[in-house]
Amino acid sequence: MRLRESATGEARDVRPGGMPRGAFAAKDGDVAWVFVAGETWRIAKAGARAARSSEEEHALTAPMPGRISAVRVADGQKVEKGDVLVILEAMKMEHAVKAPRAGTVSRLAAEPGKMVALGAVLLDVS
Amino acid sequence: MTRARPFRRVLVANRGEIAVRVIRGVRAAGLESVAVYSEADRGGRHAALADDAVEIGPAPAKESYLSIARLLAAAQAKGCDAVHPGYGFLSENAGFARAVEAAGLVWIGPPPEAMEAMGSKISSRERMSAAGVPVVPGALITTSGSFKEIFALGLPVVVKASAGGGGKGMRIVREAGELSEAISSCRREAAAAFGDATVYVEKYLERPRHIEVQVFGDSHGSVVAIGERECSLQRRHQKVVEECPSPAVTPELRARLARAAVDAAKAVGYVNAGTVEFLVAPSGEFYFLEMNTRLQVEHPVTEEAFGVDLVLLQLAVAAGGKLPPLPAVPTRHAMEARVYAEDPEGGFLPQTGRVLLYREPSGPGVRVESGLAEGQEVGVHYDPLLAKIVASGATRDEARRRLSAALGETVILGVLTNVSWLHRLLGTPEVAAGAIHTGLLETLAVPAPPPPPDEAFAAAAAALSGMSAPGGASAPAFPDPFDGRFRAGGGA
Repeated sequence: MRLRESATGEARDVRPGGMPRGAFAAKDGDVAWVFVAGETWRIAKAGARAARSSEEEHALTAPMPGRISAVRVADGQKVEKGDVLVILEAMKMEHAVKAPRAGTVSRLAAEPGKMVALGAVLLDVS
Repeated sequence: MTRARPFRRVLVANRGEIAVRVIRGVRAAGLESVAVYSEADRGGRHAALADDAVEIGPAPAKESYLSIARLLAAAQAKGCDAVHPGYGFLSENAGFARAVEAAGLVWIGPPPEAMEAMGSKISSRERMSAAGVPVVPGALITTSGSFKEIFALGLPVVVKASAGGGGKGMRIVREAGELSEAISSCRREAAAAFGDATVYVEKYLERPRHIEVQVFGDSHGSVVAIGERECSLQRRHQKVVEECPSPAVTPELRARLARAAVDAAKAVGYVNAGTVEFLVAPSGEFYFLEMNTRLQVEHPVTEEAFGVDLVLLQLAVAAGGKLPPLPAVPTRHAMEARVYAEDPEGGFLPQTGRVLLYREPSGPGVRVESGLAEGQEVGVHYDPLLAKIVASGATRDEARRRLSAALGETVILGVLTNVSWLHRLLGTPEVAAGAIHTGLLETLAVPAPPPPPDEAFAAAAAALSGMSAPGGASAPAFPDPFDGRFRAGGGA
């Protein structure tokens, strides 16, 4: 079984066996949540996540699930790197989605008041 | 009608770990508890623990835990004669306290007048200044948009929500160009969290400690201080680790802080539990920050260090009792770590998910305050604080080592948390030495998590292949969180 750790991307071939001593694990679809010696990792079956398409490269996605509290830009607007584009709110905390590069806003999908899932496309900057 | 009078059935108007804490206190006092829960909290741990429970509305807090009408209807329907608000939600809302009293119920908290006097940070600063309690130099924001007064304070400054608490909305401004954006985002967050967009600006002190004093008043005119709590370990103005006593407070400073805190409480006719927060400069000078007119999140460290039960005292005082004699100095050291649903490796963004597996730590000097249960959905509607792990010992180092060991035993799978980050934080030399200030976590190098060892891949393979099926494959149903039957054993 080929496995990949989600944060570091480290991949390994592992022969499934028993649960190691002191370890805890829980299956969540193709992802295993693993606790060993005080640390927690998410390890998935390799290939479970599709590669990013070129269209997705311009897309800015929600870094957390939550509610869109403000949209500061409109389609066609030119933005500078670091400009605040969208403000997300979750668990009473605000998070500003900033432009990762200078460019033009398109495919604006973010609407104030809308709930979005983690990874939902908010807009494109290209 | 006197406010303080005996009662027997308490509506606990909150959720999560604090609702669990209060329900336990109510039971220990020999009283009955009624929990409230939203649709999102059906089968939640607090609701299961209480003597009775009422569903009060949909997931959004405005329609459930923040709905005064629904909470009062629940209290009436279940024959409650008192209300405990916990912290957060409506706990510092004088309108709620008044509505509770108008409905003929006992409010287990301070008088609404005292809540109002302290509820606005702007007016509380003025009252404290008049009472001789030192305050940080500050300026009010006018709608005219002139920042002249603000710049006269000298940068850096901090923008705060007048109705605020818990650091919500707070922004530090180091450059003049950032002020305007800081004010508008503080206003937005304040409006969303407190329904009041008033903000103010004060001088930002560099490298101060955040030290707060637990005060308690009874309806017979006594007000006492029950030591201090050191809360300097904060990230984005959210407390992360708290302890009692503060490693920086000498007996002389403790006495001065206690006097100022008692003066502050007396100036507003304070009754019941409250916390007076101070910023303490490296020189030992201190300034009034705000008063939290409720039970504080970190109250357990005071309880463990002083051997008191603050919830029992709250119930006794609300029923008209006199404060018993309380210890003047702590006899033990206690430390608390806050477990948040957040990703420390991903900018500490809030996390959601279903709790697939949960193991609490235990052992000598270890206490867990938690509202967490396997099968529970951690959603976006509520505070990301999931649990508090508290440890105490004869010395600070003993408490710290116990807390560290307890965090190393805490297993939460299915939603990312800061548990292992807290574990690594407690091992840093700065925290071990108690050399902390409120800006420390912005620069402190907390060690990164190690790469996953072979055992982690082996455990993942076992879980994914179904050769060992802990947690996920037969994830427990949401109800029945206390019963071990559905807990799959992962630690073979």
